[in-house]
Amino acid sequence: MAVDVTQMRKGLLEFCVMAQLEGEPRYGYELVQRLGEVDGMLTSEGTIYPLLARLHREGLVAVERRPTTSAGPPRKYYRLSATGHRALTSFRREWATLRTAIDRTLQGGAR
Amino acid sequence: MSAPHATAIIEGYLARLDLGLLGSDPLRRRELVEDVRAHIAEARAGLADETDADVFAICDRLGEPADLVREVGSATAVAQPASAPYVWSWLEIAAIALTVMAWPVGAILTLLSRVWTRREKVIATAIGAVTFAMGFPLSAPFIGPVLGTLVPSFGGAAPIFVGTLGALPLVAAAYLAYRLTRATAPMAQIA
Repeated sequence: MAVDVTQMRKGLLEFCVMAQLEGEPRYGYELVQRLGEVDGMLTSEGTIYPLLARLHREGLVAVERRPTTSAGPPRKYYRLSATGHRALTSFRREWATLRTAIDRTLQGGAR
Repeated sequence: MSAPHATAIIEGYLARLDLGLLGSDPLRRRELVEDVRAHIAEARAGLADETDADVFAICDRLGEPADLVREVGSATAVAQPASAPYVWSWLEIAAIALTVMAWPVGAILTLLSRVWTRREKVIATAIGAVTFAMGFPLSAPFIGPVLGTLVPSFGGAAPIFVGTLGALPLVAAAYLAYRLTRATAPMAQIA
């Protein structure tokens, strides 16, 4: 039986996006390209934009516009806010605990 | 160099997205459309010599507008219902109208639509393409019958033949409209 992990990935995607913004601000297309390098992370590139908008509304990321080197319009850069940093730190802790617990459970069931 | 039909392809995609966002917060709606427009511009900037296929591929990678719309509706990452049945919209109306008035644009919009099946798209495009390939002007349906009356000297069935060729886009449009009413629910049912 094939396992549908779409919803699982969807729930984790926002933290992966936040992690990508931890080091430096990035614009949408750049984020899409980085996440696209992870197999299966981003099934539809466009869905990242509603997600970014939600993270912005929830105060987890901040938005700033920066001029581009070309003649195009300013780019919209996203950066992780202080609230976002706390949320990401908390998620990492929870994820480590959960991953260990699930690994143990799955291995235990196989014995 | 831009793809020949880049504008029609992109605006068609954005129109479907914008339409899907009807009823959502106007600011969010405008923001998402502009974000996606900027994404497309960034993706196109990386292409040295783009083709229509490249632009279609960019839109394909973005995903169906309905998927983006669904994402807007999900305040949290909870399971959403599977795709709702697609209903016809202004895209399909424009596709039918432009199949008559400007066949190449109408054909592209027809191909972009999710309402018609692949078979229906091929049939409609092929019917319209005959007139276009014969060198009729874009306004073939209107000029075709006129030409038909101007060539009675050809004798026999020539006037009817020429006029019929010019009217083929009308046939294609009528076929699309017929399939539309049979296959889908009208846009009014979205509300």
